[in-house]
Amino acid sequence: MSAKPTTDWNENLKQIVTGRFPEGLVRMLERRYPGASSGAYEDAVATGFEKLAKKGPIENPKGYLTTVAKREGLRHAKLRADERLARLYDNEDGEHEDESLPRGVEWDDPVHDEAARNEVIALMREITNGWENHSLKQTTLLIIEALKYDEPIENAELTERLNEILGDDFDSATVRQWRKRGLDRLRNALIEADHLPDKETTS
Amino acid sequence: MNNAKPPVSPAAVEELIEAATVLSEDHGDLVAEAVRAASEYPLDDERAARLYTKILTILNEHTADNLADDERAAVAARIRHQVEDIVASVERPASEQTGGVTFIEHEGLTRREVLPRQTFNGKFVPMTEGYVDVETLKLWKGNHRLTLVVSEFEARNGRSPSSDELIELMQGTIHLPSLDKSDPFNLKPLADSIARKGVEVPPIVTYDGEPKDGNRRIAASLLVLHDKGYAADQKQRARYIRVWQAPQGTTEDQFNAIVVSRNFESEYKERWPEFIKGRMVVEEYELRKEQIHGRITASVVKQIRADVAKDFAIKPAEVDRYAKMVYWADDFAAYHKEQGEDHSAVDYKTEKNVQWFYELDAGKGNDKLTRQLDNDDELKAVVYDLMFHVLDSGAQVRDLHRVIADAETAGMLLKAHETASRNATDALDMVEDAITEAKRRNVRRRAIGFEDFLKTMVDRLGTTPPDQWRAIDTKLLLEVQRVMTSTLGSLEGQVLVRNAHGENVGG
Repeated sequence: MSAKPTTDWNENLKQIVTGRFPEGLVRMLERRYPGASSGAYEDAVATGFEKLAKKGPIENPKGYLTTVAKREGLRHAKLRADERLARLYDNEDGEHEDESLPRGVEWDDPVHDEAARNEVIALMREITNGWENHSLKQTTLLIIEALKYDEPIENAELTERLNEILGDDFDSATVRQWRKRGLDRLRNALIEADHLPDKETTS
Repeated sequence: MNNAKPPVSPAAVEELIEAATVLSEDHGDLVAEAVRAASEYPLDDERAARLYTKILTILNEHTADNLADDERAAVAARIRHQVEDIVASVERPASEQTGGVTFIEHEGLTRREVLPRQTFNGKFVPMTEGYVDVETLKLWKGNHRLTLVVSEFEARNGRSPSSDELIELMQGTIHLPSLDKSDPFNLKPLADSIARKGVEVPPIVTYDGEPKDGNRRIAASLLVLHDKGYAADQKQRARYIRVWQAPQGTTEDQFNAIVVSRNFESEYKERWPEFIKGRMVVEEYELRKEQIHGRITASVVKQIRADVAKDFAIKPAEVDRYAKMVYWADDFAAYHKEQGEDHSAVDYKTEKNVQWFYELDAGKGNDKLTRQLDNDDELKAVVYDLMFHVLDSGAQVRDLHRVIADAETAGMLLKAHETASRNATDALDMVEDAITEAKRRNVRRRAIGFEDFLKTMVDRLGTTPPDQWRAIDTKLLLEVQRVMTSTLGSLEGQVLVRNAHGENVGG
């Protein structure tokens, strides 16, 4: 674990609050993901604090809060976009015609259903487990584990956990490369298996 | 094809691969952007207060656990104080509100005049409408629905409830002695409805944003937002609600007219009969099953049932109930039409007593009347005839399975059937007698069942070798010991009573 427990963890978090970092996050979300209500942005930021309070001390709480806020901001933006698109493709009866929709457009958050989410995560694991490159495999499996719990995993934590698993002392730059290569490889494998559209051929 | 697994949609895969990227990236540039924005573009007073109250409440949640009311109040006061300090620590911009309401663009709707213009209880009030974030609304303390609750809170705490406390009072998270239910305003069903389809009737707020009508809808929407049991899309639906804002200077008289109009005037809405709802649900259920290509497994049927239930805002078990009801109703109608009864009379009877067809399914396992009707056309004719010409309540239908289960009472039912063509009133009396007798016999049968059980127990325990007890779980062993000890007490008592009555019980 990258977390270094400190006796003044609560104090640390309160300093982040009194330093008004949360409203900066709200403003950042407003600028990058416009169109939501003020409450939605505030919730996105509050969600980070909720997760962090449960998780306990970590090395970079601001980074963690920012990651959760971005993730929530993106999720809300997609929901709004999908709803807008779905409305555009409504037929006269107000019913949804699947064939008239571009691929990937859904009414709801496509993974709000726990079963669908677990199915995709299992598929990602299955693909990754088949890789021969041990370091890429472990890096990607750790990311998938973080994804399962919807928990940020920063490069520092990823490096520390990988070094524990692989029994070595890799630097964070190397791990950053593995992270990128692992996710690229996973995406390509999903495209090859027809689980994702190939953007190069479909665009 | 494996139907048991949910399909993996490209949208879900795309969403999760992006999530994996976001979760594992370092966002140093965004952190810097947020730090800069906090100093350059602070939020206005109200938003900042709301944001920091939310966050500090989360951070103090663990300390507030298991606290007495006064200690919780102290924590809340400390949070309020900290929030005030943070809000006052910088100069903040003026609020961008229209009166007390912050309208946002949503569902393609921007703030506009309500047309046609509204008249409430004969008084004209020009309104503006638009979407707001429900969290920006505060409940109306003067709401007639809340008067008693607010008074009780004031009497106990020596102050008025805050806006947040008012919501908690409505949601039942703050308990008052007179409100003994966990959901005192019955918000949960309304919250479920809002989660499914949003708030349909816009609450009416003053120019300053105080809701004069729709406080329950607002509290229920907030319940959806704060309850972990609702999905992200449902929370989204509950967050943005359309409100009507009264103009500046609206008089108390006009607001009274609004409240009276919304709360007293009936909409004369007639609920759809159960039979129509049942037919619609079942038609949809059957249609979706027909659309499945390949093998229909139990899990596929379960999913279809859940989907149909969701679409009709009912529980999955109700889909089953409707399916059975409609099946037997159709069978009943077909039988009587074949028998030459007037078609309209049959349809009318079937629709009027549709609940009876659910009662037909009463009983357990093979004792169910429906199981026996499936295998016995003569019995079906008797039951259907009695249902058409004699019976007058669903309770009688519910008890028929007991009557059929016993040869003698079944005979009584047959006699009632023979009598029905001559005198329906006498036949009804005979059916009632058969039901009473069947219930009496059922009590006796249960006693006989107990004797059989005891005989089996004596036989089983008498032949159990001592080492068989070794494998029994300790907890279970202790449970058996407890039950045996109390049973021995009952047995000894019974033996003493019988001895006292001169019975030679031996031993």
